[in-house]
Amino acid sequence: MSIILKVENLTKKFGGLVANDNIDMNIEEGMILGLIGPNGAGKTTLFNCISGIYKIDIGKILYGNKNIAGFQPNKICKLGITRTFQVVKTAKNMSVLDYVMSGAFCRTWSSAKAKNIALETLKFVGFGLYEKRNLLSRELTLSNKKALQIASTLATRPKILMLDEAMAGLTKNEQMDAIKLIKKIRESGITLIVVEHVMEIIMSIADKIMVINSGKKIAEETPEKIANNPDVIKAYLGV
Amino acid sequence: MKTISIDNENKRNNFLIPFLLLLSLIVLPLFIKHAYFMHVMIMVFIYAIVAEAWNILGGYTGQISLGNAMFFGVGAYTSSILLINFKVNPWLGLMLGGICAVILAILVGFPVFRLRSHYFVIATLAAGEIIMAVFLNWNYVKGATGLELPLMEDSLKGMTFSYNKNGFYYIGLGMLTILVTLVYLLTKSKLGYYFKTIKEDEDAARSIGINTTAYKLVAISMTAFFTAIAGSVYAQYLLYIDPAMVFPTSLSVKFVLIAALGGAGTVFGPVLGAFILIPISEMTRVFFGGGGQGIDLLFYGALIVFVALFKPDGLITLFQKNNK
Repeated sequence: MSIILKVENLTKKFGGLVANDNIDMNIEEGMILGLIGPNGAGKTTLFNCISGIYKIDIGKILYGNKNIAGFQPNKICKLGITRTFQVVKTAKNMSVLDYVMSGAFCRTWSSAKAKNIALETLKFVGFGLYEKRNLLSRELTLSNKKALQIASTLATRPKILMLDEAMAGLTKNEQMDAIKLIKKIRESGITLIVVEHVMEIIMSIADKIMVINSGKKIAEETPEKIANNPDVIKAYLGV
Repeated sequence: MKTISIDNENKRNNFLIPFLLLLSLIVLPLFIKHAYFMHVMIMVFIYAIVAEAWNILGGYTGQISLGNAMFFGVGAYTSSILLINFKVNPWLGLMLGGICAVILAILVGFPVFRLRSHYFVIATLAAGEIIMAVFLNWNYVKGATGLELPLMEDSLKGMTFSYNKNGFYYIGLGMLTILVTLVYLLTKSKLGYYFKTIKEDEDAARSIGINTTAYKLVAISMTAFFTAIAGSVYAQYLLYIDPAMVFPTSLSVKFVLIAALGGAGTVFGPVLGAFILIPISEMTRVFFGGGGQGIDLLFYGALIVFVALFKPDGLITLFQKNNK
């Protein structure tokens, strides 16, 4: 498989704190990369760096042949990399359909086309969102809001989708649905980078898992090997 | 759980009422020839235009500006100066005033849009005060003395109607109709969707591909253009302007109040706001006269408090289906 995104020596500092220290990543097209690490390890910072919300201090982010480090988030989204937020940042007063249409407008100026893309995406995502398309976003439950966020990002037709704790706070059943959705997204040809705290989930869906601790990458292996990696056990349990 | 239907199919028959209202406004001057009534209606139209213009940036895009009088004033001054000093036709002056306001909007917007929420509000307030101070002290535009526009012969081409008020009535109504139609079309377009998404959350908007700075500049440019046009018409109607009339912060606040009272972020809300607030402010001003200065503001304030308490999304919600 070909490499779709390559991160080289990515370093991000906040004053004296090094949030991401010299991180290298190779993401193959069509894979699901799980990103794990203890609280404060720098997972969300890494997402913010790749999606362009933070400017990185050192390093390169190569997407295709292009170094996208320093690009604005909207430009990175146009190029095909988009992300969701850990704290749900969807709409309040826009309807579900309208919000997903806003994502769809990323690739078109036509309202009719955007509406079609949005309706298709809502059906694809499930969670009953298609039926709830005329509700206001603020009236949705947490799991619906998270699904809406995924729908609006999918409507931008990304090549790489980054999910920041898409399953935190969901019930067991909802988590099962979310896993199905993530697998379905991968089958549609989208590469995924997933930050998740729930271990069973990440172990069951990821092709490869990358562990970061205190801003440093400490392992990048298949889920089976990660579970037995002494560095990882040490980072999590402190022994 | 309440369901707000937004399907276009259900909205078709909603055109009927605005159309009938427009029709009745068109024929109204045939029946009512009272000059003062016509004056109030012209003021309603002008304020409805500026409130609807504010609505694009404030109501839809969520960038609350308390400095919009600067666009109003720049429009009024540009067309007036061009007419007085260069004999430029008021209609051309009005367009040039709009363009000047757009340039000002971009110059102000570029730094100010880095700020969010209340910091943005304060910055627009300051920008408005700065522009007013400039005009108060600028000799070329006669500073605080103000400008007196020459009285020309009556003609539509020269935007002068000194014998009756029908001319300005129809100019105001025509412009308002065009603007409301544009705003309606805007809400159905990509621009409108992007404006609303920016209002919801800027980070999320950026992550789904919206260049928030660029679209906010588009929004403020549209707002500035239409506010300035209203300013030009206002100057041409009154034939006299000074900075205290067209630049004060109180005027900027009035724009916001009209839009918020009627319903910010809705197509007809600001128009409704103007139809309620402007007659009230005119009537109370006349009724209480010079002796009771400020009493009109008491009514004004009380009305706003009641709306804020009971209809926080604006009076337009009274006319919408499925309201709480």
